[in-house]
Amino acid sequence: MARRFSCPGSIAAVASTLKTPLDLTSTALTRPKVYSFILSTLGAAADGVLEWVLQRATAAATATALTPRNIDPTDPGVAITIAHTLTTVESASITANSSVFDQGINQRATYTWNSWTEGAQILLPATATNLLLFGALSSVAPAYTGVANAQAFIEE
Amino acid sequence: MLQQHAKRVEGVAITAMPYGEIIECQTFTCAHCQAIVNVVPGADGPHRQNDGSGLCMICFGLTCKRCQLAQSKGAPCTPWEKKMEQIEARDRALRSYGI
Repeated sequence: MARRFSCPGSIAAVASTLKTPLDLTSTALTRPKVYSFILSTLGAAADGVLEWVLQRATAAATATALTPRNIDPTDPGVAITIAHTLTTVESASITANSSVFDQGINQRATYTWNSWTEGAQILLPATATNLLLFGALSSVAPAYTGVANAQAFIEE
Repeated sequence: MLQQHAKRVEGVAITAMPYGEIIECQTFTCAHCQAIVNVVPGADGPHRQNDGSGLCMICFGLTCKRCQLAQSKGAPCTPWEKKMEQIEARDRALRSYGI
């Protein structure tokens, strides 16, 4: 049975250029499936708009390693998938035309996506050179510059 | 027809607004690139989504407007499963060369 993990990522300050609260990297051993994700903000309420983008890249950003958390606490397994958060230097290897999600979302809103059926999940190939980045930017006034969270749920 | 196919790759997007409003939208996942596409209510044919997405008549997977447009310009049908196999094969080859 697939093991399920939660990967909560965050970025301290959204800006007018893309910032990455969370990235997921596979390995040669598994094809992780993102079956759900949640996008939200933690700043003071205002009507800023964030553009959230999920896209693929071939090399990781400079960021803090994040240990995916077991959703089933009795499962002793450790995730094979590698996750990063609190990105300090953005990935320079974003794959062109690879966004799987690109949507403007009001900063007051919380956006949740769930795959209901097998086949709807976002798959990462079994290689360390294909990442999925969860990025956000806010370039339209009133720009949002606070904390943004992206939480992904994966199974492998 | 489109909604029947969407059932195979169905997801749901839920936007929770600050005053308790909940906006739900059915989604499907593009068979070619894995993009998450909102399903247009009432879409009933392979090319009836007003946003240009629709049904690939080769692999019978639902595809986003970007992949539909690429196919209409002659791009071959390449399901994501096949693309992953190509990415993984390239990765295995590079590692076997020590790169």
